[in-house]
Amino acid sequence: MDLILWRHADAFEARYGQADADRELTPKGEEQAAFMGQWLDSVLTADTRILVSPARRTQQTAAALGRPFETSPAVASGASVKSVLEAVGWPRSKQPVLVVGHQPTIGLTAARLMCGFEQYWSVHKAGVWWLHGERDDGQATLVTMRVPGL
Amino acid sequence: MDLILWRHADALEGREVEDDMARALSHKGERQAQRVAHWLNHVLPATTRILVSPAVRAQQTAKALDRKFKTVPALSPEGSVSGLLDAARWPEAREPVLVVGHQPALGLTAAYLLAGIDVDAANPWRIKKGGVWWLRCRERPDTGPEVMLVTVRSPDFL
Repeated sequence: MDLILWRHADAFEARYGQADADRELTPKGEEQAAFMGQWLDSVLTADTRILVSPARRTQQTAAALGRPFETSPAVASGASVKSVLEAVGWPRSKQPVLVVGHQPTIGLTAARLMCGFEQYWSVHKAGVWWLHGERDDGQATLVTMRVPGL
Repeated sequence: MDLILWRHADALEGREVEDDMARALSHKGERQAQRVAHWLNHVLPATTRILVSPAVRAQQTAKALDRKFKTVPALSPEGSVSGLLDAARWPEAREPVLVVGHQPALGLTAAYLLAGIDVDAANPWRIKKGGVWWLRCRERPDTGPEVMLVTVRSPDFL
């Protein structure tokens, strides 16, 4: 299956008293989301399932793609790799799945699928890691990885 | 430093050519090399040092860039990770280095640098024909050097 991991774009720091989940995208983040959203819309098949963390910054990032999506607490900030993999049905989903989520979960998930164990990998804001795998053996292929502006 | 790994594009199969080193790019491979070279020429700094395997398919892939390059025997199809890293002077080189080479050395190098793992040579990380993996080593004041992935592209994903 294809699993596409998309990190939210650049967001403001939390204001005093503001919950982390309420942080909004900065103008730079809006641009990043629009750039990546346009590219993703041109390459994702119409049947792609889209799971988005409930946080404001991931919801705003996903909105830049302009497709309907599901909000899923299973991919929220702080979610475990196991929670993400169960939510997407790795490796047996018939449809590609796009997850709009957070660090460090995205880097940990990519490492788990490519190496068989979790490792902290840096993932750029609004960066996309596109993985493909048929088995749960830690040998997924990184099909493409892109960041805004390159 | 930046290390850019570029696998040669699609080449004629061994059945059609006896000498592996002499295998030329297929028509499909020529188109792949042109497309990826066009993108690389947009994003690679002019100072990038370009090191290329002596195999014909790697030489032809590199020529699509239309830049000067150096042929390095250590990047041949049987080349090792350490041979590649020595040739590129990883991680000390001051300029970006583009390596045009082969599997499994490219996929083994990516796994070694990014994950710190020595994967089985029979199962290197997969890099598509004509694909590019761009790695960067940067110094972090608190934790020391860190390797990160800048981008991964292929002829189908430019």
